[in-house]
Amino acid sequence: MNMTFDPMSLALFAGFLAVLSAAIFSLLKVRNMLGMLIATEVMTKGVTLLLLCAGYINGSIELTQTFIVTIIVIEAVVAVVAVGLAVSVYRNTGSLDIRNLNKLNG
Amino acid sequence: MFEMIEMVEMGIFCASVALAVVLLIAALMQRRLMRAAIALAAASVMLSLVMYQLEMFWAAVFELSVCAGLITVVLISASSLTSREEQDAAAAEPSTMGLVPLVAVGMGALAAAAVVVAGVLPEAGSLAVGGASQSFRDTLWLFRQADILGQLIAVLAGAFAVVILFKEGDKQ
Repeated sequence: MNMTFDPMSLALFAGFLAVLSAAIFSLLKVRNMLGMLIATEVMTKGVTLLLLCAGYINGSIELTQTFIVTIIVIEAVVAVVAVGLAVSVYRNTGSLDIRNLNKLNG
Repeated sequence: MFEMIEMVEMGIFCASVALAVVLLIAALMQRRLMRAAIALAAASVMLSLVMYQLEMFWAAVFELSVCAGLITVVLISASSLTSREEQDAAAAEPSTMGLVPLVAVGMGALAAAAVVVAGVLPEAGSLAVGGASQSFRDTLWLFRQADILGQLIAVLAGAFAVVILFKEGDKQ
């Protein structure tokens, strides 16, 4: 049994799994479009924690930074597009509840 | 003496990670979008502190300026464009959202057990690649050019999407 572990990588990895699982659970339960966006953002933060953990273990700080910068840019674009979509839906339906988006039902 | 300083640094690091995780879970549990956006911004600040402690200075600056700045502004703008009643009406049941920290603690404990008992993570530095390390600028511009192209495409797609989505429709 391997009992050696690093507290810093342990904190990052446990944080990643805790945040990702909580965000997925929240994404499944929440009905508000903007709440779903928050859950998606939190999931991205969890992935950032995993990248930090991998970079810390691997020791390649610079490569990890490039990945984190890329994920931050994508996170920002996703946030802006999702907010635009939510506001557009709110203007048309007067609601943020995704259960009201049923006009495409066959 | 040096061991004590190292222990203190490690404690500060673990506390920063724990605080970031707590703030992220708090963001998930808020019914009001404004409070969730503020919690998310605080979590981004803590994450940038973690990055700074790992000597990832460029990533820390990006996290602080984009995630704690730009995305927070976008979320607060969305909050002001929608009514508070509608945010409350579409929110999940409080009893359901009370399960979020339980899920997080359970999975975090599972991950900690996997790391401590089974040793699923290799030791720090054990996978380090030899050779001279590149600077952030060289790594980004010389070795990750596809990433830059992808970022440009994503930003342009986002800009076009915003133009189309925020366009005022024809009033009948």
